Amino acid sequence: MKKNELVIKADMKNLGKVREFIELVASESNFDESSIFDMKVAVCEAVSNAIDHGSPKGRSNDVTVTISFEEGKLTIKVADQGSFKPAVPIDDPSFHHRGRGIPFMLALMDEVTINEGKEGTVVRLVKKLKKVKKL
Amino acid sequence: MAIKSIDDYPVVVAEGEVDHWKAPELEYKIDQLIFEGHKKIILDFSQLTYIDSGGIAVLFLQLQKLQPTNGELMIVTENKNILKILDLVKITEQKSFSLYSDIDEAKKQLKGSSY
Repeated sequence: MKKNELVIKADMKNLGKVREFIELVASESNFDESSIFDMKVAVCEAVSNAIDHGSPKGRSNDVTVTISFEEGKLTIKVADQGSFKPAVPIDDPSFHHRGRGIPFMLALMDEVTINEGKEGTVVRLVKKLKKVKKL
Repeated sequence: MAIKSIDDYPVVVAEGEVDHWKAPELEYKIDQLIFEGHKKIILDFSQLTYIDSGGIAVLFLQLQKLQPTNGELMIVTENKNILKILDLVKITEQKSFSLYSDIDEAKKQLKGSSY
């Protein structure tokens, strides 16, 4: 099982580093471009939520992204040091602020679990590798 | 991100990625055009490769600002990933929102209307 870890400071300007990390690991694991995009959005939603709500000390807090690949699926964990923000409906037009993060994760990933503990929240996101039909 | 004048039409051109970090810049650019009195605003997303809920929140916010004056957000993109996100949030069903495959198509729509 391959495992990779990225630790960033809780600052939105680091979201680009998270996407580069996802791109690198997911393309090595043979995911297609559309699936990689889905993962980038879902993981960045989890990281944004971690920065906004899981970082009580602001930019000095860390957010840890761990990726492992086994049995045809990529499992990404986003760990912070606080609590998670509740979701709003993804298509609610009256809601123009943030809060679509969890609905995006649910729509774009195969599995989403959120575990809130005393030391922080861990969001676990799973994307399965699509099987390519042999001609 | 920039406001460019294309054939005398002001267009907000967003290239690359609009995430939670870049979203305030998109909001500011659209605000500039609304402040100048423009009702129909073209967003050229043809070179945009990434958008998440940060960018989507800005689009919904600006739609709300434009609706009282029958304004419109006109988005130009053919990127399948961007279209997937716009469909997911059903912004494409909003009255004040329209989608175009290229900038010329959007400009044709503007001709003859007060923008």
